[in-house]
Amino acid sequence: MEWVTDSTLAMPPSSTQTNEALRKHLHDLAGSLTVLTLNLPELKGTPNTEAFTACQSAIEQARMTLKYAWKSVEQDDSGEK
Amino acid sequence: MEILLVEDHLPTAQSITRVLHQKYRVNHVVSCVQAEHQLQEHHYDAIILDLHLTDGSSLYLCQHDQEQAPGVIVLSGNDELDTKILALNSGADDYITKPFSPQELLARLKAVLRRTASAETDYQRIGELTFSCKDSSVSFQGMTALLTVAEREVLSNLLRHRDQIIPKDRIMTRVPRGEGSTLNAVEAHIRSIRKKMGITKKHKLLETLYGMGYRFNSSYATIIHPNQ
Repeated sequence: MEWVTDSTLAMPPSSTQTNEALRKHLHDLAGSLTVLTLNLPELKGTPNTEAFTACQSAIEQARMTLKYAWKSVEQDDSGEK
Repeated sequence: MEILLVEDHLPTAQSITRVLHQKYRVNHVVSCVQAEHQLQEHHYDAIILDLHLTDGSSLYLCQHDQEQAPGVIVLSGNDELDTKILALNSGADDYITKPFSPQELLARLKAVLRRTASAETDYQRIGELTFSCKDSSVSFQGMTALLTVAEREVLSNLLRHRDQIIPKDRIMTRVPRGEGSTLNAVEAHIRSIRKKMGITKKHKLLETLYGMGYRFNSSYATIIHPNQ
């Protein structure tokens, strides 16, 4: 058995990374979420309303979590934490 | 209405273009340099500007002091208050944090376009010609006529760039979709405007320059030229 050693695989930021790296990560997340949000209305006609609502809810939860993450980075920088 | 979209993340740009495409003409560029070039070459009604591009921060593109500058909406994944304030203080008209819904983008763009349109002069008097964008009317030598939406946009564009040759395809971009926004339709709009103003094609006030475009010659708005 061989371990996957592909260096292109995305790694989550480690604790040693700075807030700048976190910012970059949050930016990328926001970009990906934007595409998902903008494309969501195209699925509106699907007969599987349950799955559609779940997608909608997942995106909304991710959006709120992202907002929380930005707040945390901001507070960390201003020394509020 | 023409929108310049400056976004280096291609999937995002494609999704935004698809959302805007039904109502607006969208030109997409990926860098600050390309955006600068576009802004020098064309008139845009609004710019949708991603804050962080591969060739640096695009914030300086918000700073404009020319007349009839396009409205600027900054897009950013950054939800920090300082960044929002910096963008707005740099000249942005609005700031949208990613992710955003298509409805939010359309509503904010509409609001920015409304503000920039009302900032433009909507009433002009040039010699014997008066043009009211709000009332969609034109008066020339005692003759007043109402204009269609397309005619109003065409005339408004020619008056804004008076004494300059405006290519037909550029005029075409000002006409809203569904209101006759083809090159042939532009000719028809010009013909109709002339008729409503009581002038013929020979009158130099609204001049046709074959192969080049049209020009509103302001000096002919004052002097009544015989045989024209």
